[in-house]
This record gives sequence, structure tokens and C-alpha cells, in this order.
Amino acid sequence: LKPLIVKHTELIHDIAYDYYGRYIATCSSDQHIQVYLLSSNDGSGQDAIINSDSKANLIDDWKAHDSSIVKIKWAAPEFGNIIASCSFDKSVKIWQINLSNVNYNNDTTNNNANNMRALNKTKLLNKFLEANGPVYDIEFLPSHLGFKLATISSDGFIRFYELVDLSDFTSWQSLREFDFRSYLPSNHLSNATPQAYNLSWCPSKFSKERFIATFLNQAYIFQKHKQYEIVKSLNKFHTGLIRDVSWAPTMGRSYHLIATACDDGQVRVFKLYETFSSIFYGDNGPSLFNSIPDSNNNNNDNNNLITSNNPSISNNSSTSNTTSDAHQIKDDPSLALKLISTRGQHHSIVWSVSWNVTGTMLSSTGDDGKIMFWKMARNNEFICISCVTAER
Amino acid sequence: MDGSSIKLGAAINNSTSNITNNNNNDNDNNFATNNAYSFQPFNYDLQTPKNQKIVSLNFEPDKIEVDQDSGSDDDHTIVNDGSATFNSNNAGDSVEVDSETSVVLTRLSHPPIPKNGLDVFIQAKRCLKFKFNPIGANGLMFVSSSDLNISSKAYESDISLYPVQNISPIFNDNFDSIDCYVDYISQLFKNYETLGNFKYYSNNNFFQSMGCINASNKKISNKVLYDSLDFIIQELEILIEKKIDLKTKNTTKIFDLKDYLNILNCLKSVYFSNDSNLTTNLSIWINKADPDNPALETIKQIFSPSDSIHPVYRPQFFNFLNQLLIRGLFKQVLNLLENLELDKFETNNINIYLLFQNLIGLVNFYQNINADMHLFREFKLNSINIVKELTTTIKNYKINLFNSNNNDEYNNDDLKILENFKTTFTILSGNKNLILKNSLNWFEALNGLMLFNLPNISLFNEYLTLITNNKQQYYHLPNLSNVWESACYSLIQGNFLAVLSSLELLDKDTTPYVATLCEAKGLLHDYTKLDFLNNKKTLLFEDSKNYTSSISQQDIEIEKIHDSLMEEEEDGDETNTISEYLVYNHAMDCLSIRELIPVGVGLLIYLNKPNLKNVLTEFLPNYYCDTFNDLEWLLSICADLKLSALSNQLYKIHSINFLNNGNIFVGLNYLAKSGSLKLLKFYCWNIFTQSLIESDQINNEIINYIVGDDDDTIEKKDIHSQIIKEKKNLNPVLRQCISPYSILFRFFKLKKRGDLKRSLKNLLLLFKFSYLPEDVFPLLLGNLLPFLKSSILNNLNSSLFKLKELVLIINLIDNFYDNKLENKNNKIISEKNGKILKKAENLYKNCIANNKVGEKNWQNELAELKIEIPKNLKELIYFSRLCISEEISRIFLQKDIF
Repeated sequence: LKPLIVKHTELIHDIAYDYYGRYIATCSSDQHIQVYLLSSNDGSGQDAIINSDSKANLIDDWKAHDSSIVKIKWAAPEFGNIIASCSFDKSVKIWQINLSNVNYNNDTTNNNANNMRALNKTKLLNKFLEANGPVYDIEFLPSHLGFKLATISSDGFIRFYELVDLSDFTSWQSLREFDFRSYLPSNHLSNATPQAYNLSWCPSKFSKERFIATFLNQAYIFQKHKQYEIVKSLNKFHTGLIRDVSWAPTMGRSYHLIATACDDGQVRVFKLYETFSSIFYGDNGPSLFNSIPDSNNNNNDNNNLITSNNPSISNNSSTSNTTSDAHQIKDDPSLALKLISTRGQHHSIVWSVSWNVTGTMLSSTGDDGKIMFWKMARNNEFICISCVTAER
Repeated sequence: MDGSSIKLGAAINNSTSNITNNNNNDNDNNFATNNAYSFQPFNYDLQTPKNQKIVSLNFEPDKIEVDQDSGSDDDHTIVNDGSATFNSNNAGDSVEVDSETSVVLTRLSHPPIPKNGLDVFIQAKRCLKFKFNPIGANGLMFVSSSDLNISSKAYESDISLYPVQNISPIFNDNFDSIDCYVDYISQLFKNYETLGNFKYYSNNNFFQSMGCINASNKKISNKVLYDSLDFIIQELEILIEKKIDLKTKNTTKIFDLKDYLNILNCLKSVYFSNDSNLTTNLSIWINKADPDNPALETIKQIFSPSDSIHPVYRPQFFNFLNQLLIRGLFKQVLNLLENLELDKFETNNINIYLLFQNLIGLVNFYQNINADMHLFREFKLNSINIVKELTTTIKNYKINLFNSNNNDEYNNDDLKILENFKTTFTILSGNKNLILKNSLNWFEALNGLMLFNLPNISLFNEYLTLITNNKQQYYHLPNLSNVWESACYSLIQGNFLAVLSSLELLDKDTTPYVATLCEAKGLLHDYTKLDFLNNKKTLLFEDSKNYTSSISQQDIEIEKIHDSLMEEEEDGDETNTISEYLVYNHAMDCLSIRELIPVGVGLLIYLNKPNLKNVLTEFLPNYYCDTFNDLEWLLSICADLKLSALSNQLYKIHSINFLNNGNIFVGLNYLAKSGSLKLLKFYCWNIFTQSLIESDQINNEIINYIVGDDDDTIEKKDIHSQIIKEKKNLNPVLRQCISPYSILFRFFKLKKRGDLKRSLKNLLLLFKFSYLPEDVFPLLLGNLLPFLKSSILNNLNSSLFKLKELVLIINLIDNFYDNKLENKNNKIISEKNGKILKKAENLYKNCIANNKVGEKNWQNELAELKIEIPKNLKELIYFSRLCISEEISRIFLQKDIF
């Protein structure tokens, strides 16, 4: 298939499919967001790509931020056509895309594309300006948790927002924020600091509210128990910057799979599962949690980390500099974490990892110019089943 | 018979022949006629050992076309080093293998990185990223920046999205024959469906006739399972044919499927056959699996046209005949004998003639045995008697030959023939040694023993032990480097886990269906899923040790202990048996391919594991509904499994889709069904507001039909019958939520008809409605203005209003405007009121701005009276109060008059 040439003038930083894979939103250094129609029916994108003769069907294109746009995410379909974007301009914006006039026929000539664009007007619903540094990742929480958004920024905060009134998409409120400044090097706000901050939410409806956040070379799993707490650390497994993280769709499995892409050239897959004890005791609170220090602290000494803050989520947005145990993790013994696969076939920086719809296949891209597709074998090891090279 | 007339026909001269090998059906006898001998081994296909050439494929045993020409038109060749290029038809098309991962390497058609340009690409701060499509087996790769904060000019290749298609283990080996593979899996699923409860193993199969267990149940079960396996074999044959027709690039996959077919045929004959079809199935298996024997060369030598020697006198003839018999190719034996012109022997050598007749008689007899052990014993007895007679005959013949002086009546050639006949009849009598001696390999010997020694399923292992016993004179060891041979050997030995592993390697997607049949047959009864999973279990971190230096050996040991403890609980997919595990994983693979989603969902439902509802609840919302039928399908699943929360979610998701696509009524109806009352109210009031802004009914015939009276102008013929039905049984929640618009609709309708009184009555009903959103109040007020000016506008003498109605409106205006402005003590309330007024003003201004000249609405009516339309909320309130005052005055005046 021919590539789709989009209309950005600078490099693309992120793309996001809508829930059904029919549209994609792209964001770029050119400060624009563009939305394209991929396909009218099966989400394959094939029809649109072929019919449009390499010209993707632009639905809307607008200047969305005042600096490079880093990430873009599409909300669940229950909430309509909503996307969120975050940028180096320290802002997060929520957009409502009007797709009601999009021509769903396969007749996707340029004229039609232009007409479509003329008929559609994307609306800014809200913007969040709380961050004091570039916002590197955003993530809509799974829809069963409400219409919520989480952001992670280089100022050392994970922030949460919630739509108060579903009938009023401008009614967002800030919920809480998590201060992880103590985990960052002192120069973390400078431009020289690597841009490796990621969020990924556990999509399962049937497990506790969890997510993974990675910042620089650190990765922590958070779990909601009254408030979000770090319950697992993945630090000891990584020896470089974590470039991407992806929590797999669980699809009824009782365990979770989490993949990370790392500067050390490894694609790692972790298995997180609840042990019998959790099933027996249930969510009974503190008795299950034993505070233990993160065993990896020693490994991070050379990262100039400030180790004075309490890594718990606070409802007070101005919380900072409260002292407590260094990088305390409320390890949940009912939860087991296991590194099940480490794959270094890229032999270079791994930039992205992405799961398929069922969480049975994993993709990874690296500086070797390849996309590798992995699948879990019977021995729990991930084996490469396909490889695509972007080099001629 | 004239020796010169013995020809090999097309088999040799013309390189192509049509030969009948009929094991199952009546002989179509395609032996070459016109005195031409031609014979073909059972099956020739795909490859010959020397040149690995794909010739043609026809698995029907009685219709096999062979192209022996090893000429230059080879289309497919394979290279056996495992890492080479597989040549295909199209020059230049090749399958590359990635050196790092040893998997097929695909190159993008228009790759962004030039050849050897990777270093430059990286130095230019470029990197690659990939996103999976959330619902399909495809995704998009794009070029991104390794430094997010730099701004650099992007070239076309940098700002392109590169589609990567067919990313699925299912498609992986079938990348150029996806459609037929999808068809194949769909057929296997249909077959799986037909198994019903027979797919569960039970010693008694009591489920079929609770309380009435009888032997026939087992027979029925066996028949169903046999037919099911037979169906899979047939479908696999069709798939291979299709793949060959498509000239698929991945020829190794065809060979894999061929091996798979051989293993399935073995499975069918050894474990799924009954006494009546055991030998037939066994013959089919070995002849299809080893189509190269009897070798073409042998046939050429026997039927060589270069001299006049009768084929019977050729040394290879009886070897050939014996091999045919051991392979169970009885039809071919009869065809061969019939074409030998045996009548010639009747006059020249009556003994030989009679022996041939005996052979024909025995072969015919054997074919009518049909697992009747009495007949089989009779067959063996007859064979033994002939052998006895032959022993005497040979003995006498030797004496006569010794005593004769070069007498033509006795010669060595005939003696040799008699001895050969003795061997043949001894084989027919079931002599183990001679069967082993005359077999080329272990499976041929197995077939021979099963045919002539004692055809009994329970003797497979005994025969196998005998055949492979290297302490005896004749034995055959299996070639374990051959995939199918090794798997079949394991299969007969009962090592099913090894077989399943081999099958998985050959074709992952057929194995779950085969494993289900094996499970149902009880073949996997002694194994657990963990046995299967641990079959190839490697140590944790075995591969990752090299990469994660920070992990100590102690950590690994701890993890190993942890592993063993947690093995059960981390399993996580809720499957209990091997087949369930395989089917479950296959189902999950199917879910990522839209065409196979029904298969995946169907398999999960049939598995009916405890996590079924969880899987479907998480997956089904991803399924995009192209049509109402798609949605109906999803909802029917929800109904069957009582997934009410999921059905509500589906209704909600699709309601938003419909609303976004302009299908308002269906969207609202689905919202009502989803129980999302807040959203339903929101959208209903949106319709209401939109109507007020347009100062007319909304431009949606279906909604207007739903809220309108039956005598409304909208003709029913324009409305879909389903909508008419829906109107009659309108969801009560929707009816309630849409009712304000219904009143507004009636207001506009009556006003258009000139029925001002009734029209006003409806408008006043809306004013009185206590749940009316406050922000639409100014718009309603605007619509009231022409009525307040009706004396001028419509030349009415009497007021349309009653005094109390005007007083009500005065109160409403006070509540809406003055009270909101006045209440400034409470900041929160004040802010809230301010927002309401602002929103109301915006709506009002929007309405003014969108006025369409020429339409009959309140703004144009006032314009007719040269009254300037209030520009904002304040003016509107002021003007309204003025009009109300006038109208009250008029009412008072009218009262005075009367």
C-alpha cells in the first residue's frame, strides 16, 4: 500500500486512531492537529488509502497549540468525538471534532475532502494550563471510570481532570495531582533533559483502577486505594530511558501485560496478576499493604534524584516538599509482577510499543529501522512473528 | 501378447498420464487403452524428491494428474538452508528472512529510509513509531522526531503514514492467500459448531441420553467425530489446492500444510477409524503421505517398450506387485493384472495363468471382507492353501527342471515366477517376515501387517514394535527428520503432546479444532493443560539473562520458585484442557481480524469459560457496526448471555454514532434504551433549542413524525415501516424527554395553520413547564411577542391572553431576569446565574443572527410591523414587558367595553 501523505509541514510526533480505527488524528511540531478519514467501514484504512491516491482525506486541520504538540489521544465513543492534545507550550487542550458532515462514501476525491473540511469545525472545549513545563503525555481514563483525563509533565506532576457534567463538555475540573519531582534529576526542566514521560492505563473493567507511569528511567504501577498509590516498581528491570509504555487490553484474562520500550535496546513485557491472597481477602485496605522501600533506590544514585518527597497523590495542587521515606512503595503483596520477556533484537533504542486490540500481539519500533511484531508463546516468552523494515 | 506393444504410454512417452488409483470408489479404470500399459503410483503432487518441483495437486485417489516433465518451467523452488530466498513466479518477488529474528522480513513498498541510509536517518533525529489500529490487524507507522523540541523541515517521506497490513499470526504465513485462509477457518468453525456436546469427552457419553446409556451412543459419537475430522481433512485439501492455484509465494506453507494433512490422515486411520474403514484409511494415509512409491523408475523398467519381454518376466514385476498389495492398492493390482493380457498364459502356461486367476480371486475376495473376521479367516486360509500347493508345485517343478534336458516346458524363468507367486501369496497370508522384507519403510510395513496379518486397531503398537525391532532380520526405523513421519510415529505411539506441538508448528490455526476432536475422543484424557504448556517450557529469563545484567542469579532462582508456586494462579485464561487452551488462543487471534470476529466470538461462547462475559464486555464495544444487523448481532449476544450492562454500553456508543451521523431518532431511541437519561435529556433539549433558534420545526422528518399527530402532513409512505412501528411503541423515557419538543412542534404547526389560540395555548404550556431549561426562556419569549402584538398583526379585536396568563409571564420574567441580577450576596449562586444569563443571551443572539428572511417567524412578523428586533437580552426583556403592559391595558379596556 502507498503511504498516506499528510499535510503537516514538520515532523509528526503522535497519531491516534479513533475507537473504531476509522479516523486518525495527527499532531506535529508545526503546532497543528489534523484529522483524517481512513475508511468508511472496516477500519482497515485500505479503501481510503487506495482511493485517495496517497492523499489522505483531511477532515480538519487547525493550529492547536503554540509549540510542538507531543501527544494526541481520542476519547471513548460514549463521549462523542473528543480528542485531547498536549504540547511543549505547557498546555493540555480538549477538542470536539464535528464529524457529522463527513461523507462516508468511498468517493474521496480532493474536492470532497475540501468540502468536508469546510463543513467541519473543531471546537476547543477546554484547556488546562496548570503545568509548569512541557506536557509529555495524556491519557483518557477508561470510560467506565468516567470522563477523566490524566496528564504527565516535565514539571514532575501527574494531573487528573474530570468532566463534571456530561451534557456540558466545558465543565472540566481538576481532580488531584501526583508529585513525582523527587524522582527527577535537578535539571529536569531544562531542554537538555530527555523527553521520556509516559502514561498508560489499565483498560480492564474488572480489576482495580491502575495505571503505569514512566518518567526518564523509572516506571511505577499505581493503584487506587482511596487514593492512588505506587504498588509496584519496575525500575530494576530498566537500564535506560523508558521511551514508551503500553498496558495491554486484558480481554478477560486475569493477568495484565505491560510492555515498555527502552533506550537500552530492550522490549520488555511484564505480567501483573493478582494472587490467591487478593482473591481471598479482597480489597480490604491497609492490612494488605506493607510499606517497603523501593529496592532499586541504590541503582538510581547516579541519576541525581532528590529523594525527599512523598510519592502519594495529593488533592492539594500546591503540595510539595513534604518529607517522608524515600520513594516509598506501598507494595501490594496480593499483586505479583513478573518480567516475562526481554527482547533485544532491535539492538538499538526502542521508541514505541503498541498492543493490538486483544492484547495478544505487541509491536515495537527501534532505531534499527524495523517494526517487530511479537506474540506470546506457550512458555510465556514473546517471540517475533513478523518484521517490517522501513529501509529500502 | 506382442512384447512390442507393451508401452508405458503417456507415463513415459508423453510425460503426462491420467491414471486411476481407486481405493474408495469403483474403478474408473483410466488405464491407457490401445494396448498401452501405463501405470501411475497412487499420488504425485507438489514435489518429487529430486527436483522439489510442484507439479500438480489432486488428492482424489482416483484422479491424479502427473507432470513428470522435469523441464525448465519450474515455478517454485525451495532452498533448504532455511534462511534463503524463496523464489516465486514473479521475477523479483522474494521472501526475505530477517537475520535477527529469523522471521519473514517485509519491506514497505515506499519506505522512508533510503538504502543504507539508516545512520543518516538517525543522525537527522528521526525515529520510527508504530500504532496498532484499535480494531484491526493493521496499523500505521510514521516517522517522528527523537527530539520533540526541535523544529525541522519535513520532507514528504517524513510526513507520511505508512500502512502495515495483515498483522496477525493467522495471516502471517498466509499473507498472499488471506481470503481463502479466512474461508478455511470459517469452515472449520462451522464444523466445530456441529460437534455440539460431542466435543466433550465422556466414557459413556451419558449426556446424549440421560438415564439410558447404551452402546449406540458411543457409535454415534465416534461417527460424529470421524465425520468432523474427515471434514477438516477435506477442507485442508481444498485450502492447499487453492493456495497452489493462487501460486502463493510462501511455498513452505504449502509443504507444511501437506505434512499436516499426512498427520491428520494418520490420526484418522489410527484413532478415529472403526474396523470397517481402518484398512482403507490406513492405505489412504500411507499412499498420500508417500506418493513417490512405487517409484516411477520401477514402472518404467517393468513396462519398458525397448524389448518384447512380458512385464511378468521382468525381475521388478513381483516387487512392484507386492508393494501395491502391501500398500492396499487393490484396484490398481486388478487393473494391472487385467491389462497384462493373461489369456496368453492360458495356452502357454496354465499354471501361471491359474495362479494369476487365484491372485485376482483373492484380491477380489479381500475387498469384500468388510471387516468380517470370518471372511478374513477364510481369506487367510485360502492364501495359506495356495502357498502350500505352490510349495509342492515348486518342489515338483524343480525336480522336473532338473530332470529335463533344456526342455521348454520347464525353465528357470517360470520357476522364478512360481517362487515369486509363492512370496506374494505368503504376504497375502499375513507372513510378518515377508511383509517386512517387501516393505520399503515402517508405515508401508504397518499397512501390510494391518491388511494381511490381523486388521485390528489394538495391534498398532505391537506392529510398530515389531517393525522397529532392529534385532530381527528385517526392520524399518522411522526417518525422524521428516516432520510428518516423526509426528505420525509419535502419534501411533500415543505421544499426543509431541504431535500437537508438531501440528502447532505446521499450522497454528487448524490445531485447536484437531485438538478438540482428540480431546473428545479421549486421546488427551491423561494430560493436563500444564503438561502441554510445560512441554516446551524454558527457564524464566533464559533468553533475557544476556540482556538484563542487573538481575542476579539469586533473583532468577527466587523467580523460579515463585513460578512454580504461582503457575496455577497466573495462568489466567480460565481454560482447563489442552483443546480449550488452544481454542481460546485461536479465538483471541480471530478477534483481531474483522472477518473472523464472529468465529472468535462464537468459539468463546462455545467454550463458555467463566471469563466469557468479561472478554465479551471488553471486546464487543470495539466492534464497529456497519449495519443494523451488526448491532442486532451484538445485542443478541448480550441478550443470550444476559449482559445488560454491555448492551447498555453498546446502545450508548451507537446512539452517539447515530446522533453524530444525523440519525437523530435512532440515536435518541438507543440512548433511551441505554438508560443514559442525562444524555437523552441533553439531546432532547438540544432538539428543542435548535427548533427555537430556527423558529421552526427542526429539519428532521422522522423526529417530526414521531412527535406529530397522525393527521400531520408528513406522509407515511416516506417513513420507514420500522419507524411507524417504533412510534406506536415509543420508549416511555424517550416519549417523556421528547414531549417538550412535541409541544413546541405543535405550537409551530398550529401557528402556521393560523390557529393562534391553540398555538398560544401550547406556547404557554411550555412557559409553565417547571423543568424548562432557563437558557431557552428568551427564545420562548421572542415567540410570544407576535401574540402580544396580535391586535395589530392579526387585526384581532379581543386579546388572545387571559389576564392570569400575562401575570404568569410577568412573574416568569421577574424570576428569570430580575431575581438573577439581584441575587449578588451569594457568590456561587451569583456566578451560576451569570452563566445562565450569558448562555441565554448567546442563544438569543444566535437566533437573531440566524434569522432567515422570508420565513414566517416571530422576528419577521415583528419586522413587518416595523418593530425593531431587540438586540440583546436586556432589550428583549424591556420590550416584552412593554408589550405585556400594552396587552394588559387592552384587556382592561376590553373588560370596560363589555
